[in-house]
Amino acid sequence: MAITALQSAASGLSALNTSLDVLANNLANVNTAGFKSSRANFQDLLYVEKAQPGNQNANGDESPTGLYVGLGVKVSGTQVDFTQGVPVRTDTPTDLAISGLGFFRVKVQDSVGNGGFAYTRNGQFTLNSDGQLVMVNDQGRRLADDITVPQGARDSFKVNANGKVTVDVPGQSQPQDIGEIQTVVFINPTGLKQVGENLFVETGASGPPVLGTPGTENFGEILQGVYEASNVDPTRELIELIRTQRAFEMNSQTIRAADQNLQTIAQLRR
Amino acid sequence: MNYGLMVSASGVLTSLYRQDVAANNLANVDTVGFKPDAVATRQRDSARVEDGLLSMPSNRLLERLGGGVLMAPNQTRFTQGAIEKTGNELDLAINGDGFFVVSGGGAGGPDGGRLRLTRDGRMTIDARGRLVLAGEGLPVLDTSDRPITVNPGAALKINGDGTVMQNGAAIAKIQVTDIPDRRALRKVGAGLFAASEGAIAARAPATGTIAPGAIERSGVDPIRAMMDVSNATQDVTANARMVQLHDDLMNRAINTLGRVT
Repeated sequence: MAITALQSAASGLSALNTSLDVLANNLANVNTAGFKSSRANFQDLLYVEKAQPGNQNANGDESPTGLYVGLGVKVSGTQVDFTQGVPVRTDTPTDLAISGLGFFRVKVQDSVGNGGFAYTRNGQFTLNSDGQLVMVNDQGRRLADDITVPQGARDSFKVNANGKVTVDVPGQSQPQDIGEIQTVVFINPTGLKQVGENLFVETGASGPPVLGTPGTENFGEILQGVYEASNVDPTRELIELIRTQRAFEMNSQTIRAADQNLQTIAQLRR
Repeated sequence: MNYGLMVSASGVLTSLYRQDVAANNLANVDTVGFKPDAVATRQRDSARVEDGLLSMPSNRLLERLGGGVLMAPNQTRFTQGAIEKTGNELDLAINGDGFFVVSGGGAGGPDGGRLRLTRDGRMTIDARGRLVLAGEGLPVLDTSDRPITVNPGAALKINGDGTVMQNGAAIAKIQVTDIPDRRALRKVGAGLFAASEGAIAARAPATGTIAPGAIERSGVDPIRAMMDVSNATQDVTANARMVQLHDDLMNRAINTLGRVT
């Protein structure tokens, strides 16, 4: 019945609209440090069986295939693409980037993230009034490794590839150790939940966080004076946008065609 | 009753069905790994042939008319979709023949088989470290039908022959298989195909190669699908018009020709 065609087309419009929302968010975040692009994954819906394979016709022949009508499409989920963004050099000592796997761990309210932690690839940090390393945003999320830079040592703040943080103290020949930045990996980063502010939080699907030293085993090294730019590729997103819009138009044509059929049928009896 | 009325009605019904299938193809114009369905219709035999009344006398003119049109089983077109680079190393596309094998999808389904085949190779690692389909989370199987468990965190590389490499060592090989008679495959949604246990057992390694970091676009040709949708509408209109003419004819027969003066 033409109702099926209407529903298939409507499911297409709805799925494509979701895809458009995801693309719009990617494009809006083309300049957001540490942002990871997402995509909407589509999959076909169930099929209605009109005739089973193996049906016999009048001559006793078995039909080799069945007769199925699909019911359209849905968004099966959105998937975050964790490929590395381009490192941008700023020479600001508190700008950090992870080259390879890993997330910075920041403190949040328990209501936001499991255990009061959230994870980010955005390494644009700054120092707050207490000298603590915090994210540059209105929330001032504190780095969970509790790095506190002593007064006056701001300019000599150094982070090495393994996350060791040192400062020069006047009157001492050796740099002073003030802590270590550890990073976190997940077995399934695509299972992390996005909560805004460039933060991800742990879920059952992501697996528990695995804490480690940057630059060892699978953990990516830390770069100082560099931040990781958004990994959104505007060309790809715009091409997807065109594709999505055209597919949307085509599905709206199906609705018109199916509607016309229903109208024709409604007017069968004069 | 007017014989032609039924013939035209069958035309309306099959055209609507053709449109349903075309609408589903068009809705899936952007679904990764989707294969379009091709609609087939067949001529319906005349009532005498259908009912096996061959020895009975019949109207020779009607005999030639046939009985209208019927829906025939549809077939899935397994033509290769365009392969597009995504850069995500867990996106796999099959270039050539073959399917990935996944387990689950409603164990003990109507066909009793628990394995499903798919061309949608967008994969991810689940919380238990298994390589799974990104959509439904069904485990992807290796060449011995076992799920593939990877070392968490370590960089993963997948070669064109399906070998999964971690830290320079091969840890598993993704199964790419094909079954001899593809008509045995049945779509069950979510990009998955099911087949009878016999057909699954008869599967053999496929000739296709894996393109890592790429997806296979939907096999739907949008122009063709669009034309199928609008053609079906034309056919519905034409057949519905014929129904009205038959009705008109009966009107005349009853109210004009048969009028008692």
